[in-house]
Amino acid sequence: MTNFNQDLFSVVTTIFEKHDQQIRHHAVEPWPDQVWDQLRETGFTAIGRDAALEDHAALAKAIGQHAVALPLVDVGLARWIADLAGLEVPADAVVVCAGVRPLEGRIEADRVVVSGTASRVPWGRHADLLVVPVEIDGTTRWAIVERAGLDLRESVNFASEPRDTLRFDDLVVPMSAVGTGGPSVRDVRARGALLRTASGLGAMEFVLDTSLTYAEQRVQFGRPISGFQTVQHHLVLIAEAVASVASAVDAAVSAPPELRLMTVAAAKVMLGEQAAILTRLAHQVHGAIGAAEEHPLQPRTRRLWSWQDEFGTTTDWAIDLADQLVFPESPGAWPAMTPPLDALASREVGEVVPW
Amino acid sequence: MITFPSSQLTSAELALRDEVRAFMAEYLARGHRRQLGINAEPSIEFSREIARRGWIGMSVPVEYGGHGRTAVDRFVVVEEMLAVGAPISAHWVGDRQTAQMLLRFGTEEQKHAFLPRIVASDVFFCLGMSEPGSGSDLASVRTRATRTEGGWILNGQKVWTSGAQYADYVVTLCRTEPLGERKHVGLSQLMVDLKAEGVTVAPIRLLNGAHHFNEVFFDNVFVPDEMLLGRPGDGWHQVTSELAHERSGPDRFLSVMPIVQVLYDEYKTRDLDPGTRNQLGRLFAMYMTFRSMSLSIARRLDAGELPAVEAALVKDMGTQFENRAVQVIRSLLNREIDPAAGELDELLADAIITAPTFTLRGGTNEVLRTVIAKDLMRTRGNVA
Repeated sequence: MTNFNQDLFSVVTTIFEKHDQQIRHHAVEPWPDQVWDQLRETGFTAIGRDAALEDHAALAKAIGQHAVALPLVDVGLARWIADLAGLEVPADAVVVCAGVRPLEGRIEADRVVVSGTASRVPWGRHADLLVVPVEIDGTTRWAIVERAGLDLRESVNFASEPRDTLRFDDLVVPMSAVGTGGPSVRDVRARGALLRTASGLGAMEFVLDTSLTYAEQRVQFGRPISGFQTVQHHLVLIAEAVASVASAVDAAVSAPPELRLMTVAAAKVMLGEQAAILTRLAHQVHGAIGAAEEHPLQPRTRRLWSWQDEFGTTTDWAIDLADQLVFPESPGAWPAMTPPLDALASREVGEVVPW
Repeated sequence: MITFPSSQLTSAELALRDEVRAFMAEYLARGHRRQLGINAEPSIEFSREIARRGWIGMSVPVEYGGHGRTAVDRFVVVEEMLAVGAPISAHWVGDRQTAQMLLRFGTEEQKHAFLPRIVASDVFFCLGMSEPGSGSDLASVRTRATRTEGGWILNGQKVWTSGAQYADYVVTLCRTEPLGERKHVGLSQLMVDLKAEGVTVAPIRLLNGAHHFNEVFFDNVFVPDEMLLGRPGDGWHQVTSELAHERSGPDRFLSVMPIVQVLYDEYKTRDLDPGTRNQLGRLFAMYMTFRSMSLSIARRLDAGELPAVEAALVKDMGTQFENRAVQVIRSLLNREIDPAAGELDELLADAIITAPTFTLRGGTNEVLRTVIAKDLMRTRGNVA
């Protein structure tokens, strides 16, 4: 991935490197207060629409590379939505997006009453505020609500990152907390998918590096296992996985706005396809030690197994991409895959609001 | 550092694309059948026709009769042609490799003598690389040329030489110095007239019955001095430095695109079930990604780089993917394929039967992976 903010990546990486990570399996990853404070002090937790997509992607990649159990990416996504919908979020607040499926809202006097369930909300239990999509009179609008007081069922993903379910039981929201305009739910889901893919890429780069290091250090039959051709081929397939996902993320981040969703769909599919190959082979190269709780490989592979499903599974996005590109007026498969193409203009292959 | 920066086609490149796309639509409308990539039967008429349109030797400078365009322009032309199954075989080697090789290593006389004729599809080349005892271990070739008055005497045998039955010259990798301690030293490339005395061409039919490949025998063939490419002893360097051109092209992932297009045309008016859309979407994502990677290599060639490792990577991934695409199409059709039952089945049958060669031709994937692995160890896995 080259079209992203390398400087920003280096700065935030320095913060993560200082943080001496305790690599252990936890039922729930503990919240590293110190790192969050540093991110907040440097302003990384307050960026939204003011930062470019390249910046958000750089932070996402750094989070993935260092397996940092903090909602930096999700807060960036939620702030971007809030900014576009004209909603105020205090600079210090932890805010996340609660779901990409609209809740029900009905207007009562000058308030909106919200009901429904937002499932698998990233870091829900740590959030001060939630940005939620609410269907009001046939229109989806974004509202900002306090998390405290909501019914919350805790759960996690494979990497023990919080993914909680929140129930809205006729929650009363003042009109001032309901935005106008903003991104479509589809836009948000796609943007979330792209940022997860960027994080996944960071994790994959780490996995490649640690696999190469291990293969060169581990001696069996009197020589480093990197000398065995079979192991070399595993390492090559791991590198190919990284290179192809990097290319797909790069294409999506730098895509013209009118092709954004098409390239994001392709990137998320590539993550699912290639992370599956990479994780299997990286564990194979590492042997038993890679499956040990204290090994730095597993926080990355466990994240990859979850991230490939979040904000739409590989299959969801494959179907979405087919729906974008297969249609009766299409001049053919190849022209559809290689836009610009006039016939694609009505196919929802681009972003609705500026990313 | 292994990297594939993505880019969009410029408006000039898009204009070229539209021109080629329109021409190919018209060409197919004339009743020509679609074929699979470099499996295609050679058509000298087609090669001449597109030469007249300026689509061969595009990056050859104007002073050598070329069009002074870019590697990306060539990429655009080639991908459009492969996507619809154009018969590109006849000019393929000359356009992709020999012209580049002559530009980089040829003498002024050689450039002036051959480049304008390649550009015009007036002369066709083939590659004399493999031998019965030398496949992946190419530097072990035993075909040898010995010095004589005004030239060389060539003896030996080449195998898997595609197009030797109609090409004019075979670019022959041979030993011009006795084998010393290092086998990569003392090799040269001779451009051998296939009609010269002592040259015999014998066909090798492929498992689908097609005749692309040949054995070429050299029995005391006289090759004049001016037909030695560049400098004597430079052969290995010449062969390996063109790999970025040879390995990265759209031919490495688009072989079965004509089948996808035929199937797509059937599907596009139907309601497709989620399983089918899932399979199609995955194919699309991979086509888009490999195309982006391949294009990025063409851009880097234009910037004067020779990204050979990236090219090997694209070829390894692209040719594996072509095999997967064949499997996906078979599972979508879910029936016996009848090679005599129309375009889709005919093309698919050809793809199924020849798919094993996708990961062999132009360097086996195993050799490619060894190349990539060496680079990974050297650069400590710098992939971005």
